[in-house]
Amino acid sequence: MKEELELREKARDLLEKGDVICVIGYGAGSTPFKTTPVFIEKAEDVDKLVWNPACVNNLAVYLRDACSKGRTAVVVKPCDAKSVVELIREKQIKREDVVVIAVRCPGMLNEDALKGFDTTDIKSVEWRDNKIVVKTSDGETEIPAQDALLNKCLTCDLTKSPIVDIQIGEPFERQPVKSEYADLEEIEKLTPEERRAYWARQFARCIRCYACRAVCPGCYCKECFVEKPCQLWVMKATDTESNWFFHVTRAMHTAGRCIACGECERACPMGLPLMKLNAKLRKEVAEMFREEPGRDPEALPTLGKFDMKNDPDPCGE
Amino acid sequence: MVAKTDAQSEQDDNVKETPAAWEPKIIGFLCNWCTYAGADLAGSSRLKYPPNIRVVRVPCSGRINPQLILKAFERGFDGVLVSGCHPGDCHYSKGNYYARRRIMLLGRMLEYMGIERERFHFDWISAAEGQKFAEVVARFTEQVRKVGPFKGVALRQPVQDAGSKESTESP
Repeated sequence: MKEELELREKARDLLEKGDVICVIGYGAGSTPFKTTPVFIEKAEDVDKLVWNPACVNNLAVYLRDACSKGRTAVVVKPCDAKSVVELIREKQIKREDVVVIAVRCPGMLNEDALKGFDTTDIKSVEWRDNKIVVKTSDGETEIPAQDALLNKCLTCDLTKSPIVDIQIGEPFERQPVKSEYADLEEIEKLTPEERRAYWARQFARCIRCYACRAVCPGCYCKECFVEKPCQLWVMKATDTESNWFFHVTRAMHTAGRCIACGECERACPMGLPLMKLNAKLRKEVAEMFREEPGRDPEALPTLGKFDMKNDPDPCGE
Repeated sequence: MVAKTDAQSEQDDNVKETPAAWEPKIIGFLCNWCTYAGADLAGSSRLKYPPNIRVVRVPCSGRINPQLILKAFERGFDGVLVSGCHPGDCHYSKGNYYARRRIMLLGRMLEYMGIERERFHFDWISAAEGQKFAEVVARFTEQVRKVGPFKGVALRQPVQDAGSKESTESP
């Protein structure tokens, strides 16, 4: 593919010139519809880099570690670039320590779309215009974007990456198919008791593996509140109450910072609807404080500032 | 309203199922400089207010970590009251402005999690407003009493709800 070759060229260039010590990108995964993060440190390894509809991971999660060792290049989709902006905004990395390689992104594959296929027989998954093409030994199948892409891609309105050093391919013209907050309505319309039951059922399943925390580019505390030995915020056992507390607190900690990359929900082995927590907070932050994280690396954090006159007041509500 | 000893309140916890004997258990996070002094004034002015509130004194409303409020509900409090200095009056000049953003956001989140709006109250009460403190506590206690006992975030009793349509439910 055109972008893939161009990406390798640029990566080789960066490494040969010594501009960066590492290029974080996507490598081929165990199947044609999976990728795995790769860390390229030698120019001769750049051919490991791939670019296809399976590049779902948000690689910004590795930047703090990588940038502490030296200047690093990272391959991003426009949405992941928002995480890079957040990391700079929160002074976790320096702007000059990162080279952002933004690649044309027509949307990423939702693996559920492959349910009808014999997955062992899939040869490749590619983009064609607005569709995803799955090649098997029986030929090609085109899946329209609406059925093939991740939820976050259907709600994405980001054509241009908010931060970019090297652009690969023309930015893809985006039209959101639905609102990010559309899924919240089904919960918001329930009665409080039904809502509580809904969340209790979800959190009862959590095994507290902390995969959601590990993939989150915003969760970088050296010591997380759940691991503080002398403060029993949550029990070690995975009872529903502790799980509830963990998830709601984690959501609050990312309030005003979450860029909705959806990694927590994707990484969750129990399939908890974690983005429904984050999307709610994003909606309220947008409504109450007119803020959207991931756009401006200079802005103060949403909950680290205030607006004396315009902030909603409890006595005004 | 009859004042209750702690032992009696403890007993009440065990008989939550019998609404007749149930008394709302409320925790209040009050800022040291305004609302706590306001509560003190209410006391020294011999104003009556319901004994259902347990007061936690914090240095500033900006000190109120949302986790404290979440924890209170997780442990089964029926209501949480948060109060501090009026905007512009913060002892530390702007702690309450930060608190306002945080607590307003948390309030919306609590509602979304299925904790009734009536169980959470956030208000400004100054050191001179002993009367207001007594009124707010009385009003809030009645409000919580009306919603009834809080069954906890895990909601151990099964409840029929529309969420069963969710695609993300476990198989």
